[in-house]
Amino acid sequence: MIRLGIPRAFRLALRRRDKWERDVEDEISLHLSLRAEQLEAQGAAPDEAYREAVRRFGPLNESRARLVDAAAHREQYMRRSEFFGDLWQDIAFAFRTLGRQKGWTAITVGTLTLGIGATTAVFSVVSSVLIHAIPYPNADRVVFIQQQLRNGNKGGVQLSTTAPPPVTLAWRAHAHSFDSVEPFALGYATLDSATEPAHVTTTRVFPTFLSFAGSRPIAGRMFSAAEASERARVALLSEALWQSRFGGRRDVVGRTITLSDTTYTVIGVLPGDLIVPTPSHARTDVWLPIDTTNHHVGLPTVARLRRGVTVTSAERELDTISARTNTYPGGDLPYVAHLVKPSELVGIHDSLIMLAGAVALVLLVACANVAHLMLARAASRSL
Amino acid sequence: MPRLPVLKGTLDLLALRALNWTPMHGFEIVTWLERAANGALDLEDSALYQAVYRLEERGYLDAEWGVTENNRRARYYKITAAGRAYLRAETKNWAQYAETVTAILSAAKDGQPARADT
Repeated sequence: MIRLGIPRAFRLALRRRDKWERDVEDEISLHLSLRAEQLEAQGAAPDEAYREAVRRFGPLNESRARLVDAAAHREQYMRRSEFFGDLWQDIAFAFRTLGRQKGWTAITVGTLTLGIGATTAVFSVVSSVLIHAIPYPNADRVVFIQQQLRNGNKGGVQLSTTAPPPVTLAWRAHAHSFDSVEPFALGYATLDSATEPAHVTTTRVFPTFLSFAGSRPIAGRMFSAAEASERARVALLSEALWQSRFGGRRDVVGRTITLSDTTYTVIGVLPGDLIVPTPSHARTDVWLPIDTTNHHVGLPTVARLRRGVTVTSAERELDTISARTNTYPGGDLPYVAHLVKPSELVGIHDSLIMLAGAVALVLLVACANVAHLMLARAASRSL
Repeated sequence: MPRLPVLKGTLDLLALRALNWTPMHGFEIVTWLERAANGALDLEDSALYQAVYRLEERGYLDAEWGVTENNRRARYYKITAAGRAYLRAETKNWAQYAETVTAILSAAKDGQPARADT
């Protein structure tokens, strides 16, 4: 009967322990009987001889325990050194063999290097572009909310658009399918300074964006909801800009900066790993409170689905909310909500997957080639 | 003549010396030591076994089961090359140490070595 592996290994270890414990026992009893025989030969009575043999050996129980301990230590140590000795011999043998057949070794190593290298390279691209498309907590539930024409997209071209602020704000306030809905706006500004003006990128967000992205200021504080709604002139610097333009000084908090002729008070610094939720991971230099007053400019929106909510039911809820919010002539909603996973926004999504598959096949071919080489070598040896 | 206890650490050396010429089992080593010491050493037999286990662990001895002349199963110990080198080096150290201790114990009051003519 075959039993499970672990108890079997345990029993084997026990058996081995039994074995050298018995060995110690055998050694002791042989010693005692030889000693007793020696004493008898010198004229002692058999009983007396055995007692004397034990006396000379030392207290039996205690000595036996000490010897078993010593033997255990010895066995353990020798087993370990034997293992490493064997391992070392195997490694040395492998290298000697490889060294003898330099051409064969070069081809094999080259083939495997190419296969593994290509696979690793493509996988690291796939990993950063598709798997970790958005470095936020629970990224698997992060989606972009877009709108598509209800009757459009007939020409096979997908047209997506961003919802106007009133709709986005209604979603943000009322949608239950999401943990959070975060509109944002990307922009540019000129940072005026005594030395030289600089072109900087800005991202406008709600203060809740920070917890959405799982981040926190490394200096100062985030702006409050009140500051955001009254469009306070406060700004947070990116870590990079803070280091390059302000020398990473702590006292930058509270200073004012001028962005395209408007003065802002710096209230904090955000860490360098906080990125804008776009597939291109655009760099942001200055973070500002979002402005939702211009109803004609749609806001890109990123959101995190509530656990267990499906994309379709979330889209339906968003449509209901936008129908309540906006009245369109004719009563029909011209747009429907459309949720997109960050990785689907990557332009080369499909080609990347195909490339990853192709490169995995290349590795497979490389392995097959090496296997063939080994077979060929074995065949030529046995002839 | 009083029997002397074996100094700590020297038993390993004595066991290696016993095995210098031919492999022996434990009891043979013990009787060899008794003969060589002329009965002057006080040694518990079990201590010898502990010493050979230790030496085996360090690679100074190899052990192998064999049979005695009377056809009994016994564990035979054999000195290894490393064991021989260790025995040579430690024998030299011991001789030097004993010489130094003797010299000190017989030195004169001013610390000068004792001389035959003083």
